[in-house]
Amino acid sequence: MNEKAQAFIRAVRLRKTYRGGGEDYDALREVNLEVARGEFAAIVGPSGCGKSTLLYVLGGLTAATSGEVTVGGEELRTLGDAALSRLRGRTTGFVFQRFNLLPTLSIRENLALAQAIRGADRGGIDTLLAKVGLAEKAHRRPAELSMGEQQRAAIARALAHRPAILLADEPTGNLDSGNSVRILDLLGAMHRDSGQTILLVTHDPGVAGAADRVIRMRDGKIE
Amino acid sequence: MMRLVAANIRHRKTRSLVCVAAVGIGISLFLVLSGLCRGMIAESAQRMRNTGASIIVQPRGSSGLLAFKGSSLPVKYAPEIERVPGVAAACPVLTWTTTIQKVIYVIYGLDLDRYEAVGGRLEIVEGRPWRGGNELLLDTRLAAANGYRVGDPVTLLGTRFTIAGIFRSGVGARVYLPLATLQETMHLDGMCSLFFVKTGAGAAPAGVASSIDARLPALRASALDRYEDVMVNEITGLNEFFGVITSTALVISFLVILLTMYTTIIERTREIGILRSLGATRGWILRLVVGESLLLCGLGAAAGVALTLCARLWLASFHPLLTMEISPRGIVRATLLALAGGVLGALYPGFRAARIDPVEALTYE
Repeated sequence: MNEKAQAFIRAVRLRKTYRGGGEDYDALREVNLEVARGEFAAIVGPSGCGKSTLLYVLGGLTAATSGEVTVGGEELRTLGDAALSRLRGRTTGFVFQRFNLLPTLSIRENLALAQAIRGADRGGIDTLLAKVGLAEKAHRRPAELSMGEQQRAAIARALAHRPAILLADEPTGNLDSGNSVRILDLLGAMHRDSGQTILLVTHDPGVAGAADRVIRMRDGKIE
Repeated sequence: MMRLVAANIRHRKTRSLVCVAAVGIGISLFLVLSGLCRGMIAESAQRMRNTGASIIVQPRGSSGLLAFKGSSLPVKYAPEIERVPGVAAACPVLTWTTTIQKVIYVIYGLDLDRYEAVGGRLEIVEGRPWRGGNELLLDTRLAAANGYRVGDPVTLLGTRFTIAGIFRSGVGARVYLPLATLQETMHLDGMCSLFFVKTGAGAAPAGVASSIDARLPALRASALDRYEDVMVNEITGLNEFFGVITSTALVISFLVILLTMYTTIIERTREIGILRSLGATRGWILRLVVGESLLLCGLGAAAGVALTLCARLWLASFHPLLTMEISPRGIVRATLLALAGGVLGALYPGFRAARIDPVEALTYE
């Protein structure tokens, strides 16, 4: 089996139950999934179907109630908080619908901080910002940028430490169609140029069309 | 991390200023109160040492401070003290307190010749020594603070005196009268409060003091080189007072930081989620919170020191008789107090921030 075909992210019988208000809510129900290294996959489904939860569990941001998640051969359940944080920092970059840039720092400082937290090699920030078209705005704060620019900055930050996996949660959800196309083009280019594994969550079939593979979810299950 | 800490402080200017000011006021309170206490005691002890005497002799069982108002020693003890081996001379001093312009002062009644014999020399910068009767000498600080000149009348203890001379401050009391005049004024003929004793060449003051204690059981002799310690130990509750103001400064710093960082954590829950998504460990988040509080407390300590220096300038201008001691050791101690309060105050919010669930934080509105 070549490396590309080998499962880089594997979820087995994944279940995530939220408890609150005296009632249990199953966000994920026995989800099995494999994503190969270098694959660009989109998870689509209606709001509340569990696609964002799946993304966060696969990224190690929250733990599954039961089941197994393996990323690059490491089983997340066996890792403590520090080891899980380090793995997340080393292998994964997140892009969120609401951009989630730190408002007190400039765009350049946001990228530098991401590298510092992950202990990644400093440098490459200017190249990355040029690639996303923000070289001229590197010293501006997020609030001084348009929404499309903020999302491009967020993508640059997610890639600042050259992660193997990019997890994007509704990356075009807050953008107009022009900016959405630009973001999808950017993700496609990153995937082609760097061979990153990209897992993108969206409820928009048009956005999902940018991916090589589409995974459909409904009621916490993969269809 | 430090860039993020600095950016957070800059970004929330009002919160940061209020926090720095509150910590600064606490630190300044600590420095001013302890500085005034230590300054007044140190200056008083220094003036005692500057008398030139080696030993002070008081009634046994009396306090190093309270005895200054007493008058329970007969002057006739002087020859007995002078017969103790190692003693060169003894000078009887009657001390009393009086108020001048609503401020309390200790006054000394003594004979200038005998005072000089124990090493006491008043450097008169204006006027002359008294010629007996109702004349007195004032020190330069008291004269400057009240605008007194030689020849001015001063009413003390219900009696009108004339200022015969003004001597350079820093020696013994601020007001000197002839012993006989003070005895007569207070109806204390033949009595005094203490003796200043000069030891002979080569005699160790501590050893001579022990000899006086042994030979004259009704008296207590103390070497003046450790008089400051005697004062500190004998002022009832002084060490407890220092403890209270130290604790107060620590508690203020702790509470201010606790409240500031706690509200900051609530306000920045989403940012903590972002940092966790970037790979920040719980320890990293804890260090971030503690680092921010340390920087705030450090700035607060600097503000407190600046405030204290301003207070000292103000005191020097408007209350020149008050002495405030600000030592590098005191500043370091105050800074450490602020930082300790900051670390303690940041621990709970820091641990709370570290335990925030990243996904919940990212969806926090």
